[in-house]
Amino acid sequence: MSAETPETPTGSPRLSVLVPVAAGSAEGGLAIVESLLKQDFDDWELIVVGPDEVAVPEALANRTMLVRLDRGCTLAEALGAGMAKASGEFLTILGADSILDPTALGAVCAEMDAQTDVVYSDEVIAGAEFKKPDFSAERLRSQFYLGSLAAYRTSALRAIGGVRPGFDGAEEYDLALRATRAARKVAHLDSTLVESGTRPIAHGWGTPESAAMEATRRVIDDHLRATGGGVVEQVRRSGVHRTRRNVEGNPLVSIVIPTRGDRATIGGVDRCMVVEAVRGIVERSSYTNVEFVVVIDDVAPADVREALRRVAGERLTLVEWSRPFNFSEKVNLGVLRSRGDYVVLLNDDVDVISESWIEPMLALAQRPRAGLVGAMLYFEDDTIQHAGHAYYRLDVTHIGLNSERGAAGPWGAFLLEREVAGVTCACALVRRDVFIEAGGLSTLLPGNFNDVDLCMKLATLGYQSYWTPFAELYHFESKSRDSRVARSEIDVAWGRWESHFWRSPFWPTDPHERFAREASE
Amino acid sequence: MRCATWCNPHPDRWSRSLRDSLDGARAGDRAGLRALGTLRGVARERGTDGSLTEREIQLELRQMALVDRVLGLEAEVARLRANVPPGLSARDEIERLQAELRSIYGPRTRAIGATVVRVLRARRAARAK
Repeated sequence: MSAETPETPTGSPRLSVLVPVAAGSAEGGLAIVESLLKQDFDDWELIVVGPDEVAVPEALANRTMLVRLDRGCTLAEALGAGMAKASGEFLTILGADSILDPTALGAVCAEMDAQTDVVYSDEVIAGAEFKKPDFSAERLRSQFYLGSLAAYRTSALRAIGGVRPGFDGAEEYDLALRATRAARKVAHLDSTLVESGTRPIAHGWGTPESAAMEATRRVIDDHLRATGGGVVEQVRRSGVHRTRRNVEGNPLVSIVIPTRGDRATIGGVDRCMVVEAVRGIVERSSYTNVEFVVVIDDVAPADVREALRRVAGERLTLVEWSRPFNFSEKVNLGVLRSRGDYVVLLNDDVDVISESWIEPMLALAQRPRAGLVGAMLYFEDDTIQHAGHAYYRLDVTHIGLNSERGAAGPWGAFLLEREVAGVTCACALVRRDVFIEAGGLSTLLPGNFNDVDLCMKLATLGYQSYWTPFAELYHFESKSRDSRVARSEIDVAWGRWESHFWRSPFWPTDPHERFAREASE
Repeated sequence: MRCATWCNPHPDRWSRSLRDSLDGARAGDRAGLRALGTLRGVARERGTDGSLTEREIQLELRQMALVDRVLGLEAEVARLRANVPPGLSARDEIERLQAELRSIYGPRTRAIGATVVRVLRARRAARAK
């Protein structure tokens, strides 16, 4: 490998743009050059790592460094050679066929304050716009979503050892995981600044797909081991991988269910909702160290109590409720009556689908500074009721509402564990002391928005909510309660959090929008 | 263009001030604040079977309601302050909410707040010179 510098830049630029070019892939020239020429920001250098035939136009010659490749050079070696030459304070790796917005490089540098080590932007991929979440460490272990315009502090990259060899086809993913792990701050530029090519950078470097997928598995596995453990269950061609965290220990989980003991017809069968909810958990849950705390209205029929005792046995604590309806008060009382270090807040109108529904929620609740963890909930007709909360232009709604069961969602979002702004308390798991620290569910919100409010309160205290698709339940929404919303509830919830209801940090688009692109298997 | 960070998606001053305030309240003298102060204490005093007594539960329910009220008031103040500059009616509302917060926080926290205000005023005066 040899380097030639047409003209050595004087002083260190703010940004180094590193473009690796595989042999035989640049015969038509570098598409990125045109958009680089249009940048409204000047303090950058270009490092092209490529074969002899690669050339850059005269207009860029004074800021370009060409690093020649040996035949058979790997992408990791090419990136390493480029990084060694980089003199910018920050560095971004771009595909040769990327198209940048004229403001892109300037915007990236403007966001790089003294604490920021990584910044990434929204982008257009193969014609579809990807409005990305704010930095989501848990999502990143299942999807390399930072994408085409991610810039790193060069010193931080060198501190982690730069690009590692031995992960052919997953070099950028590996770099992103390691860099964000070590980063003091990761910033998301909520603006579409790049249109990436149809092919990943690694394409053209001769790595067979199977080897690239195996490298991806090792990259994620390595990351999980470095961040508390977990399992890579499936690496997918779509780039949306199935990974999960491990449960630490076997803690007692208290399942708190407020109920009036109502009956409803589900699938043509009359049933007592709470009894069948508990029966489903007892008969089908793989996690067995649980207790049930059922807060039951005193007007509930006596046979409901008897049925609950038969189904749950010694694991049942019945708490009598004789005050006027207040869902929040009932849940708070149930949590205080519970003995577990973790509590599941559960409506009585649910039915467990996945046997291992507690484990994925518990594992996420055991993450540092975890708040509420929500589940995938389906209506009776097998459409999605809940895949996390989203707030958009003062609308508070469920992600995925009315989508078909099995849909991947925008950019595979229904298939992976991720950070969310909030979750429904129809089924949510949380550490008991965290719940109490936030004052529990607000009794000022007796029937609605108490879950939204709790997640917001937890966020202000520094706790992060998560959602997992691996805990699946039916939620026969409002089969057992009055679904009307009181004016006072809107006043309280919006009075507190209205300014947060304009945009969700982890779901920045309209949740009702039809999906521009769904990940395919 | 909006930028957000993962370190603290809501880098609002009020979450920190709330924790400080609650800590201050916990250290206060008023009988009403002792309840707030024992919030975590009660949780630690669970019996050998992990359950709370009826009295402890009632006390803790009151404490949780108080914490919820504080968090809610802080959020309302922050929302109103987000409209810069706040209108006259918003300023009145902020004042009212802050008065309510002060009544919860108690004298010690007010003293801490006064100290902070003094320091800020001194800095501002120094900058003006």
